Amino acid sequence: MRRTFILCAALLWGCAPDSGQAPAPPPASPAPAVMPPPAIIGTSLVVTEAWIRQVPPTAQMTAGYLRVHNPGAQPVVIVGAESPLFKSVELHGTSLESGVARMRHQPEVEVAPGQSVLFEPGGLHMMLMQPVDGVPSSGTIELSLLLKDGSRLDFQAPVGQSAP
Amino acid sequence: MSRIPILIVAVGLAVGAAGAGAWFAARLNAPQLPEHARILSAPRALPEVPATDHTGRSFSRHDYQGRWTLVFFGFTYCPDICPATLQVLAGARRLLADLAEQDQPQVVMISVDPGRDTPARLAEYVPFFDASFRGVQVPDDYLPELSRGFGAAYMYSPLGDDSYTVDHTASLFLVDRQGRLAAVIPTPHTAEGIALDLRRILKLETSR
Repeated sequence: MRRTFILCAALLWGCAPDSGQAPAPPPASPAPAVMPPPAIIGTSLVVTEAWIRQVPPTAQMTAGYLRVHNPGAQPVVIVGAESPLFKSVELHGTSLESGVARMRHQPEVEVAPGQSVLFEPGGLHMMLMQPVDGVPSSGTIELSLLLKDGSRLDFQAPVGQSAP
Repeated sequence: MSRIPILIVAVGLAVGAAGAGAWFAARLNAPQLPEHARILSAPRALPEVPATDHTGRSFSRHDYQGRWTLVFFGFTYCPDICPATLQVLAGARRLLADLAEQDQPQVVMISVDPGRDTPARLAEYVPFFDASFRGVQVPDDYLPELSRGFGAAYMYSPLGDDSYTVDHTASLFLVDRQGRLAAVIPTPHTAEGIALDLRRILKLETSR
């Protein structure tokens, strides 16, 4: 929710007419007027329903799920993900063919304009590997999606057994 | 004005029909077939291979005796399907907690990655989902024979530069009280679906 608000605020800020008449700053934003436009403009995605699967703390890896929506007019391509709690995070897709589950690295995921892509159990997911200090079994995990244009999208995901 | 008598008749008919249905169902007490599980026309004996459970004890056909057992082929370096399935199985166990101990299914995960899934590693992982769950390591040399006996498949696939993942059958296998493969439960799995099918299979068992 907060993330959505910040994104919307950033979008509105960026879309403000560049005239001499300065728009009223958002009431909650103490940022100075000289703040450079956030890198996220133009490639914004909205992340919702993010969660990390609870696994034993000694597990070597876990999976993360989320919904990404692209409210913009251009396709946005996700090329990776990061978390300070894991040395390696990759995008993976599980497929079921004749009852056999196969998991493969997904080099990129494109979100078409106006569309959403769902990362869900048994499908696309973030594979969180090489935990720095064990896989957290509760709380929230900081994550970032890395986009093809070089920008990144930070968000948080709670650890749990199903989508929040 | 004539609506009310029609309504009374309609309600009367509906109640009568429901009552008759319930009466027939109770009288026939016809056990229903499971909704998801596919029951084998004849239970199939499973190959006896050396195996070790997560506590270090040997695991053999005797461990199936007297209980229904849900068997899942998985591995601990599996972030998506395996923990999801173990969670579903834990949910199914909770839904069946009202059953007598000997009617509650055992759950066994046979590792398709015995090279990394040592008993110690399985002990850290499998009982986390439910304290009663058992992880089983079958040596590399015997795993193909055992998985073939179940009709399960697994294949190693490289992951990154120095790792690998394992493609594996995600179906669940139901082993009967005599240690024979009795049914296969295809994906997708839900705790409710598994619990419902287990109840129906128990009913079929007692009606025989």
